[in-house]
Amino acid sequence: MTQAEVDDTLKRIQEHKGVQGYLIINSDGIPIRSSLDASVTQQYAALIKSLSDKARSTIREMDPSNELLFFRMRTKKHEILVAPDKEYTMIVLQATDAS
Amino acid sequence: MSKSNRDEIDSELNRKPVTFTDETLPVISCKEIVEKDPVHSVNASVQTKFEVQLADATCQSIKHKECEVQTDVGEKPADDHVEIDMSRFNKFLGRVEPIVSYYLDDNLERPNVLRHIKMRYTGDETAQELFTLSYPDILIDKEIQVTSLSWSANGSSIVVGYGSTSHEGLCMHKGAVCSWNIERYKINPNKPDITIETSTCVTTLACHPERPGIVAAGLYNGEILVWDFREQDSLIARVLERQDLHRDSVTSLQWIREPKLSKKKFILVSTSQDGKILLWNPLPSKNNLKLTDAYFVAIKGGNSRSVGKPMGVTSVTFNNEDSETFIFGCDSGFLYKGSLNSVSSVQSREEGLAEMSIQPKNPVTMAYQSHDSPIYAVSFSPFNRHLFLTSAHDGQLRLYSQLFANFGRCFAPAQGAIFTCRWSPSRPLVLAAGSEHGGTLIYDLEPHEGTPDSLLLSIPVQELPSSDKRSSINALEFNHKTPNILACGDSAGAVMIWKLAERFTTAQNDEIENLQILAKSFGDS
Repeated sequence: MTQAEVDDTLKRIQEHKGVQGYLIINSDGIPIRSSLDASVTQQYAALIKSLSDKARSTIREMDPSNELLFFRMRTKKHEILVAPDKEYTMIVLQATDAS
Repeated sequence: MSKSNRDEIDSELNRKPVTFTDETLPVISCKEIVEKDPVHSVNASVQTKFEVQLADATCQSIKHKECEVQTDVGEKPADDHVEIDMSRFNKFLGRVEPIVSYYLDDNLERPNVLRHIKMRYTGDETAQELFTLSYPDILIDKEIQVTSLSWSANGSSIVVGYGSTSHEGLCMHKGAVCSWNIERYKINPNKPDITIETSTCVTTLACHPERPGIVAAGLYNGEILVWDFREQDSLIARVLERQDLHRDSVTSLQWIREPKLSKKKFILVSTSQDGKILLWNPLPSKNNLKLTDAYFVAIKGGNSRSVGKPMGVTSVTFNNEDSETFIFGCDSGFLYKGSLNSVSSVQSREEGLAEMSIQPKNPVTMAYQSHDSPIYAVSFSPFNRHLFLTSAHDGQLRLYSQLFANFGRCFAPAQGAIFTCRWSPSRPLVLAAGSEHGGTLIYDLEPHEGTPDSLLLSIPVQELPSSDKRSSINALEFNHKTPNILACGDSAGAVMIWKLAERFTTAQNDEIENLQILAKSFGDS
């Protein structure tokens, strides 16, 4: 697995229709890959991190054998897709009215 | 002899060269000064030895660096220095990519899927009465009613104007302007925080849209007063040039943004029974309200004797997007569109027009289907640039689109005259009307499945009674800062502050669209 393959995967996601940007944060909430500008990245990293931690613990508390895999938030302007994994979390923004 | 002579000649010859050699001497002394300088710099280098101690300080700063990494909003969005285990990272991407891609595609296949999901309002649907405000001192006179209401800019205070609505000739009443702060911990509903008595009835009020404390009031005798409640000497402006004054009662006041020059400054628009629509610069120097523009509405056609006579203007509303366009309703039931850009002159020999400091213009650009009796209120929708609402003495509430001369919807609640109507500031399809016999009527234009449109419109979704259940609602205002608060002033002199249920304040996703569909449908019929 090489750097080029990683870049290919990210490019594929970025090229989906309506995608405004993506970012990947590690378990400490530090952004490691991002296509958004610095201040937006920092904000999303911090806020989505705490939200996804909360969501994960909610699911665990309801059923300890269950695990949060994916969630998305529909907003007026865009949809935020969040894929929290063990080590990393991927966040993708997609415009709501992409037509 | 000869030797002494030669000596003498020699000495004479040598005299001049001696002076040349003297002048070269100062050059040598300069070199000595230059050589001294390095001695000073040696001392300076000795001092640098103390800086070695500073190395301890830099050792400490290493700890600070760790903090900075977390708080720093660096130029680079992502931190490349964080160690990534490439194989694990790639496995993560492999797991995550299919699911993210799936939903990205899924969203595109079903665009706007959530738009059509209706919110279900839960909880109580009834309005809650918060306060009933009244000012007993002025209500000793049984003819005094609440004539106008206005919320302060910050939405915390309600300003109430008192006056009478029945006059035969001169006004012999005392009016008053009172203000209650409804956010105060201990509010006394029978004692206003601020009271100002006026010489005649107050007919209309308007709070400044940005500066709390500034209130403009129009009186029955045509005067316009502006107060700043925060000032010791609260009256800050009035009309000093008598020839510009309204010659009949002021029917409405409104603050609008100056459309031409600055677009930031607010100007005051007043309408009156004398047919004039006047624009004022309300916060000038020397406390003088200065007339900036004037419009005059004259009767046209019909009886030749009445042509050119003034047509009383009762209400005006300005378009949200095109600030130079306004709709105004008249005492005669006529409804017009006007423009601040109008240049056509007025054909009238009405007394006093020629003396005004600015020659009035004819504002009318378009006429709409008229009501059969005096129009009391006109109001542009805050969410649609074309829709506006009218209410009149004939008991009808009408919806017009400014593009079409005929009204689009009409509903007559059969509760007597409709003295006032307002759009909800938060829900595009909700409006409220103050009726003569039925209290405050709230309408919801939201289409429901299975109910024909025409039937739905004629039924108010909620009726709020007046303070004594039989007096009429003269004025009502939504609180624009907290849109679930509605103030209703009635003819018994009481102001009721209502807290509306959630369904009247939370808009649906597609509500603005439905309003647009409604506005467009007016052209079809």
